[in-house]
Amino acid sequence: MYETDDPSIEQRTRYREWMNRSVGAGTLGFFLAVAVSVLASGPVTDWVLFAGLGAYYLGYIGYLAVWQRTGVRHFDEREAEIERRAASLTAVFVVSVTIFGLPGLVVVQGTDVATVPAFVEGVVWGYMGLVLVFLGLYGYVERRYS
Amino acid sequence: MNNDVRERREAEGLSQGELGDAVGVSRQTINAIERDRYDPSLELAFALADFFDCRVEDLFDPDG
Repeated sequence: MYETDDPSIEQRTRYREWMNRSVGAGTLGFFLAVAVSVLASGPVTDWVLFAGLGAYYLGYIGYLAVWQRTGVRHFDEREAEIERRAASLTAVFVVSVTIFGLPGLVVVQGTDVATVPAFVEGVVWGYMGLVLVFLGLYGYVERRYS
Repeated sequence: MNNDVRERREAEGLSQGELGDAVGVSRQTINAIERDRYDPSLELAFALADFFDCRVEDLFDPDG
């Protein structure tokens, strides 16, 4: 039988369960804290909210800790390929919106032809920021593979 | 890319899950390979060939 250095599917499944439970517990803790703060009153609700936020952050830190500390792939290569393709399509969408949207936004605002809703302006500039992040990370990853 | 993974797996009497477990991938990945919906990495192709005790080119046909 072929031997692989990678942990078994059972181990990977177990690690993924830990990760999901950690995130689930953190998210549940946050929602419970919000629910308590809505139903209760007084200064103690602030502490409940902070506790919920702490549980939420801890949940995600737990997720990252299991992911990083176990040192194994939690997703097999087909799932990783699906992620890569989805990320690539997302990048194409964001770049397309930025390429066509940003010059249009500047011209429309400069000529006062129409009033651009604030959320549209926020989306376009937000996507512009994402494009800059993408370009920076692209350069970083390219250097690692050169 | 055509391949003989399904035929060889069935000849060994294995389920997709058992083969996936043996080479370190999910049942869905084995299923996608058998249906020509996903071309495996070199690492996985060699793992499958090693498992079936054959050469990669015996298992996968790039002209298919």
